[in-house]
Amino acid sequence: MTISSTPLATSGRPIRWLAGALMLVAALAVPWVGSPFIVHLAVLVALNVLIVNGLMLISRCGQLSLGHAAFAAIGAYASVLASSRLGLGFGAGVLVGAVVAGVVACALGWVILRLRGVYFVLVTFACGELMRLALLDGADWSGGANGIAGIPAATLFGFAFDTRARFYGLALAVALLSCLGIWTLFKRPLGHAIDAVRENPALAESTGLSVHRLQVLAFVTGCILAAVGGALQVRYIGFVSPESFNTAISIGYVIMLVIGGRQSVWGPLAGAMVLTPLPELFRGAVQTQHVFYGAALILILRFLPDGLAGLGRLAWRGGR
Amino acid sequence: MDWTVLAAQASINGLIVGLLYLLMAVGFTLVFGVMRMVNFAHGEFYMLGAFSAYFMTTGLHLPFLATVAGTFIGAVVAGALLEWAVLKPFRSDELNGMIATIGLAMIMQNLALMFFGPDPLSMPAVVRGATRLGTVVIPTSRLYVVAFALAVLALLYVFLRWSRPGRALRAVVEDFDIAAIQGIRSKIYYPLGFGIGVGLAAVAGALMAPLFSVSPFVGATPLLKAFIVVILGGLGSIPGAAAAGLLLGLAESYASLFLSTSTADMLIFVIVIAMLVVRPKGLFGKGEA
Amino acid sequence: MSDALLQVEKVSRWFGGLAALRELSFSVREGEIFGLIGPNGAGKTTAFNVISGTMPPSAGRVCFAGRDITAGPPSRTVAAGLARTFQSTSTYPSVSVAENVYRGLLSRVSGSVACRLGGRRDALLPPQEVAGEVDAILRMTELQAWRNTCAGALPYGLQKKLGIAVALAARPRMLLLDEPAAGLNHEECRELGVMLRRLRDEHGLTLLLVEHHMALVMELCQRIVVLVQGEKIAEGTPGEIREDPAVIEAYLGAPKYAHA
Repeated sequence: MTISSTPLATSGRPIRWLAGALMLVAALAVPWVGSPFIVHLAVLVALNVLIVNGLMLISRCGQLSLGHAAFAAIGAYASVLASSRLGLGFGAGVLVGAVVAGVVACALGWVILRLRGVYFVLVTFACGELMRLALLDGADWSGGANGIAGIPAATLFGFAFDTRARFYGLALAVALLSCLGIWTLFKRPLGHAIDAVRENPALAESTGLSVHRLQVLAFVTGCILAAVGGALQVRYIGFVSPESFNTAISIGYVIMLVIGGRQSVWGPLAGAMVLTPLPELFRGAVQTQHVFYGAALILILRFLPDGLAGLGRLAWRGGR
Repeated sequence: MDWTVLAAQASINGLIVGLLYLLMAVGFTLVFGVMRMVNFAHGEFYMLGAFSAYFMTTGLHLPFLATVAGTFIGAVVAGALLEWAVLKPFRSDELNGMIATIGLAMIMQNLALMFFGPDPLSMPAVVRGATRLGTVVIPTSRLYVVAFALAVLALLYVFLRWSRPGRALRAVVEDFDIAAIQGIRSKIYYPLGFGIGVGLAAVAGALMAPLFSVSPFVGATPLLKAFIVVILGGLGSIPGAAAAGLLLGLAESYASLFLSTSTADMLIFVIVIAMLVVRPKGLFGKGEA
Repeated sequence: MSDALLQVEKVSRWFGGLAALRELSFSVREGEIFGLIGPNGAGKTTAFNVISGTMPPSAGRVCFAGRDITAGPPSRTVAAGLARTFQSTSTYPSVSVAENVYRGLLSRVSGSVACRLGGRRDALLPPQEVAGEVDAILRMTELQAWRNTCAGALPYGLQKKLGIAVALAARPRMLLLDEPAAGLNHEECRELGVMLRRLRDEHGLTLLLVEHHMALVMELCQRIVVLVQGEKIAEGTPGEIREDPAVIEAYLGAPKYAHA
């Protein structure tokens, strides 16, 4: 049992639960109520929520990764290759993707997490680029610039997620699981420790918390979430290439996180919901939309550093 | 295969590319040194410099010297204004400032796409013909680029070494805390540092415009190279950035004789990552990681 | 060596060519309130950082309760039973006082991943007792009235108290205090002295103060070490230190300090 500590603890106000329940109902209703395009958007939102949840975890522990998409790529390619080369099923393939990503994140993270701030960001950026170059170069296994096409739909225990609505169900379930996992995490001592490390690492270390190991744990978990997201995404799109998860995509995840809210459990959800539909909706005016992103990013950083989720929190507490 | 000719050719190309990297990197490290900000929009200033050179020569028919000078001044002013208007709140906030420059880069690139379209434009060469240096033949336009780049660098050196604002700027870059204690006026030096830093990027873009094509996408690679050079040479060290820039240009040029481009690129990233881990300050840099 | 809790043995620390500490040796007995004083630049901060495991020494050893804790890392020093406070940024400003203390004891919560990663093995706390422990710490430092106040909103004196509370949450045997009186007014300083003595008397804590505030040190500490330019020039009771000619010359100077 933890103490009712911060003003941010769930206050149990009925309206919060009601809003959450409404959102859940809306999410579940999408395949029946929405057009195929809406369902498509919903799938992308769910996948982005999953991946950005991972980024949020890393950010919550005090580091910003500009190479997050690279781990989605690891999950994607590893799971696809596990199926095509080793004959493993979808589920096992995703597991392979997660494990490979976890191992890479652990080895890499152990070394690079000793860096702080911009230096860590630059290293992750460099790693992302390196991953893209390696994928371009390894044509025998990665398909090079052409990537891998014709990836079969996901199947679990004989059930094929080959329609949009079915896959949405899968993606939604996994995304909700990740949200639930993160929500639970931050109620437990480990979650409080992660926040402590972010807020004042020297103080945290001096109270007996191992900043380095906690950051590695957060990093590995965050990268595994990205890998699972990537492994799912390629089963939906049916295709993967080095440009599917390049630096621009990593930047996109960062934008979702920042605009949605870096320190909130709802941040990735808010960011994904606001930003995912836009590219698909504004296919004609891509540039205007990107100018809008850039401006929104700067404005949020300046005036709303807690992102949209922070705005929501103010509203719940009646602007306390 | 005459190896001496190849080597000489590679050296000249390496030098040109190295000068480009140097200009980008010195500007980038100047911005980092003054504002502690990793400027993701640096490549977009290069891109705008290229467009400026294009329009000044083809539209206004200005001579090249005037073009480069005009581009530089324009970029310094624009950069200073942008810093003051947009980046001021992030002056001591490294991480958020960096993210803000990502936003700035998106705005700049997409505005350019909106106004100029995505298709590459080709600028006529500054001067035609080729020059012979011993056994090596070089297009004269490339020699021009080298000459102009060296002139810009000489001016920069004089400014940083002998003028009062230049020395103050160097003081801020080399030891931020001491400069702050001595009361360097941030109102002037932040916009100035940023302006000159991006001005150098714009000059690089203007100089390279006749050699490569001009489009809203040309900023990405120079930005990447700036990162690499500055990491290797040390974030916050101007001589480090200069040395590393030239070294990288030459190394890439020589490596292309023996390795495939992709292998060379990957090798460079591995070195970058190793450098960041083993010696984040780079070969010459200051500041903590 | 008898019941020395903290043993500093010939600790030296060089920065380039500059010797910040030269073969510093002293020991602190259990239950003592010990002072480390010296003029600016004497090496007090360096000594503090070395003892607390934040910085490795260039030579020498630091032993606590018989265990060698030289070169930390700080989490290992804490696990051994030695905690420290910070002079600045001593709290988590965005969360409440209670949450601050809670974060201070996270590495002790048995069964949690935070505890397992931190490697703490003694003074573990079952999860049911956590809330009670937070209350106990708040009572020890008289902060119960502010338990739900945001740490960043506290007045300076209370923030420093909170810093001590966070350090105490690790239930150390000994507490290193980094200039605890800095920035406190006369009344707050007096209260600090009362609280520190109470912590020693009622809770059995051993204390090492690195301090500038001469009055507090002279009144509170049983033994004092005087550091000048990295070297120990005197060690003894406040009375002895006050009379020591080397100390008077190098540090205390005129009689005004003698009547602290």
